[in-house]
Amino acid sequence: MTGEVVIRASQIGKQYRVGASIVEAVRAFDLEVRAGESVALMGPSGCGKSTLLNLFGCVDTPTSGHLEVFGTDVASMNEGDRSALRLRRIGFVFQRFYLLPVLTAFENVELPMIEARVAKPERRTRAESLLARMGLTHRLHHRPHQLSGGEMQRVAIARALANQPRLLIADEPTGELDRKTGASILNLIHELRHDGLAIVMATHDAHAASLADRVIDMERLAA
Amino acid sequence: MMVRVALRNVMRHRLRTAFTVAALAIAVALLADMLMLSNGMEKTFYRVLSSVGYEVRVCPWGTLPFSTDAAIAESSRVVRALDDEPHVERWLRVLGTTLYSDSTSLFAMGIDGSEQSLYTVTGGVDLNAAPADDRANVVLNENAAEALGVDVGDEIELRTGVTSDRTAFVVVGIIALAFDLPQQRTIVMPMDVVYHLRPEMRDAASFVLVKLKTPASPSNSFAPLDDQRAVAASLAAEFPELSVYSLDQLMEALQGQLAYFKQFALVLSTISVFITFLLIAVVLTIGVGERRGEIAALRSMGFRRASIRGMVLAESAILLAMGAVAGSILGWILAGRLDRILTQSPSLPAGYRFFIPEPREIAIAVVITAVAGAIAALLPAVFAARIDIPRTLHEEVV
Repeated sequence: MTGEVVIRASQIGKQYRVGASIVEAVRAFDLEVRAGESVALMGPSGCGKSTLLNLFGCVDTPTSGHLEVFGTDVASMNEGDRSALRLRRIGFVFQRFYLLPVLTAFENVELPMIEARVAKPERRTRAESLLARMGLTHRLHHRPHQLSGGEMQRVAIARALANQPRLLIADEPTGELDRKTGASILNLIHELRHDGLAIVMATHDAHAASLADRVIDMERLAA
Repeated sequence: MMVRVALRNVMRHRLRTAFTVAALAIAVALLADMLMLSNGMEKTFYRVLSSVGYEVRVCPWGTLPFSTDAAIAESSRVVRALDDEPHVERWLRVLGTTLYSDSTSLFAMGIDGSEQSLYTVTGGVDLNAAPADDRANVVLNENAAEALGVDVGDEIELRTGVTSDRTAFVVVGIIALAFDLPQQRTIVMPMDVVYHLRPEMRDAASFVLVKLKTPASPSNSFAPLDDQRAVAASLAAEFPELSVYSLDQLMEALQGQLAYFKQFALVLSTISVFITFLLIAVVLTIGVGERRGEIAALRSMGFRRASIRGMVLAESAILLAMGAVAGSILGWILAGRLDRILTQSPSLPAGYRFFIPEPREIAIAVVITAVAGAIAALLPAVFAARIDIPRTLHEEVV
């Protein structure tokens, strides 16, 4: 791999305080992810996949070790800086889609661009193009409840790509979908690495993980 | 877009929104009406006091005009002092008593003064504008004329008591008095006539009204407040057994009598503001709680805390705007209805109002409600903006 380094994690750890006790969700984890590479974090629930995604996505900060995203030390960024980085350079796909039910597919895709202050004509062009790429040209003005699960996740992927991110974080993106629909969504996600995106995906499904360039077995790491 | 999202979030639960807006409308209407109640009587008093055009009132000690049967015993002393007072343009001595016809009783007022502005003549002429014969001239209000079945030019006979002798009068005019009660039958006659009918009340007066000189101003405008206070203070010093009021002192004394209404209005106003506060806080907290996953997802996608706060505050503003529009209409209608009910009281002068619907009071109510609502929205807005993203997303999935 020769692309720019998007994520560089060295000996990162994350501890949570739960009541009086300390829970160690991630311990001394090393990883380097480059542009155009897809990495699957595989393992059962509770093994720390989502915690790592939160760290790589700059939603959270490590309690130990050193983490750089796009060459910037995550620990050195304040909340506002991390928000700005997430908005402009990182796309998120969630298991539960989290589309706003009050907005249409088009508006859901347009929303992050409004937050990023993208000009209206550019927003329109990008949203239509992304939804067309997801095969949803005929669903632009449908609300989430009028879409199937697969269509909702496609809209969510289009939304994640709206601000032209360089890193895509996907947390169990097929968790709420049937196998066939899930497979098409996974293909869609992994195709994105050809655009130069770095992809980090959490999954407990070995088949889903096998499509990635690299698979990290969290259970084995923990052992 | 966040405003559009807020609007659609508000419309997401139509029934909840409808109930919330209805409750907010009631709170705005209640607040507006209480402000109107608080100010309405005060404005009415001032308007009525202004309409008769006198600045200073001399009354028996501790009383307001016609508030008791008390009388000034030696009123000629007062009017002599007024004649010597350089600021005084004219005065009107008034004495109230009761006279009887064969069929009804009348509230009779004897007046004495060079010119009066206590009432307006709506038919015929004033007392001193008609030639007098051996019968005294009288003017009476519509109620009295109707009760007695008389009109201008007719003769009436009245007595001071059921068994007293009758005295004949000529009706020379029909009048309207600002202070009349709705059903009150009022008759006005020269003071000498009342003294003749009631010799035991000779030289007495219920009160004396004083008009001050107003240089370079129309005759019906008021003298400067300093002059009013100076004349009132001078009279009060000369007649310590009497109460003397300038216009502002009289308003103050009347406001004292309105304290009950003001306290009542203040309590209900405060309750309506608290209702608004709690309503907005509860509705928005529930709304934010239901959408924690969505909000956490938006935050994780990079939406700024300010955007999330703005969305929740916009929801509050939309609810408040809808409540304000409905509440303004409701408050206006309610004020009219309540005023009609309360002003039907037989013990209230006809021109008096409790609620005067005015845009200013509505605007103040809307502003107070908006401020209360905005403050109430702050807590859920901050809660939404500071949501713990990893924990919320984890809890939502689990």
